[in-house]
Amino acid sequence: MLEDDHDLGGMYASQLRQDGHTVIMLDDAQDALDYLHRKPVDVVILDLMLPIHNGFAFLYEMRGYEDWHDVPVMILSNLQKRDFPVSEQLLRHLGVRDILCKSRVRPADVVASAARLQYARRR
Amino acid sequence: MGKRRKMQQLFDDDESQPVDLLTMTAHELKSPLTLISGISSILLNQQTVSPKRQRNDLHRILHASDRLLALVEGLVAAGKLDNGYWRVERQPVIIGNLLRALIDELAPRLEDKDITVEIDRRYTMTPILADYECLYHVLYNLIDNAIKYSPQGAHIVIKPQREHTTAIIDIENTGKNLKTGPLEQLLEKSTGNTKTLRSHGLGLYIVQRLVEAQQGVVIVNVDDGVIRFRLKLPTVRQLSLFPEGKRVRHQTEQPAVAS
Repeated sequence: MLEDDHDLGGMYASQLRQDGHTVIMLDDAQDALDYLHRKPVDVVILDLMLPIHNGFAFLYEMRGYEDWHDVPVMILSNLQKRDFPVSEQLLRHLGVRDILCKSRVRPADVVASAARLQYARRR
Repeated sequence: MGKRRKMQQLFDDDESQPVDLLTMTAHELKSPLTLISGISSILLNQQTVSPKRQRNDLHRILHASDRLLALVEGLVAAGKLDNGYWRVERQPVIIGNLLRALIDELAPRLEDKDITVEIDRRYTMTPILADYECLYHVLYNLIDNAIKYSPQGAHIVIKPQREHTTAIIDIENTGKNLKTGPLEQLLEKSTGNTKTLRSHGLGLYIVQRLVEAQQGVVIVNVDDGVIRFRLKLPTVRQLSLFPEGKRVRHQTEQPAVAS
């Protein structure tokens, strides 16, 4: 989970862990890329408004690596789709499987989406 | 330049788009509200919750509410200043007492993230010329910001200092959320847009307005992973704190008035 708001990230992470997932929470895009180099992950949960490199930049960088081409990404942000600088179609092309607006979903919805993406990948 | 590089630059440069204050405010309010709503839903949906977990969750709701209230109060203060409804009344404020009150207020948030705060005691008795309420908002926002962007178990250092007639308060925390180098532009009002505030919060906009109103400045710098907010405010001239000082000044002014 790439999220710079530790309070919000902590809330989602605790719910995911309670559901049996292992969660690595990072607040910096470069750290997240470094982590991916070290360990494989099933799902990336991505906030967009990050201070150094935003979530879109991370996404594009991540998709540049062959090893991670099929890792599903869930965008979890308070940005609305109409404010995205790229189309939803391009995001799908970049492997974004779900887009959730933090203020419009409950933590349980995030857990359900993560489980769905993880299941789809492992199938 | 390759296509991929161009695309990445496009995304990174997206912050150059100006964001109006209303949008920024709405976005800032969303985070604590999302936290309150999210934790409430967790508590409601869980069949059995241990008293400890319940207490922790209620604490998180309380902290999010406090963040929200502080944000709204800061906005009201900045609005009043902008519209001339707040007359800034500067008076001698003992910084040590103010810092202690603030740390007490923020203690639950500090405990929640296991963050320690160290106050350098050498200059805590320095009287600063400031509007107490304004300074309270400013320091609350800066320390709250340091807590928000510090990792679990971090250490925050607050260093009041004095340089001639200027009081300096440094608030330092470790974190990776800002680019290295001087970041004065973060608080630069004259640029006319709020682009640099997008990632760093409305709280800093409020800080800037309140500090300016007290004839102070605030500077941001990042050095080797340490984020330092430096607040500069005038001190009270030591002489004017004592009755003799006032008397001397009065006596020297009297002949001029008489003539």
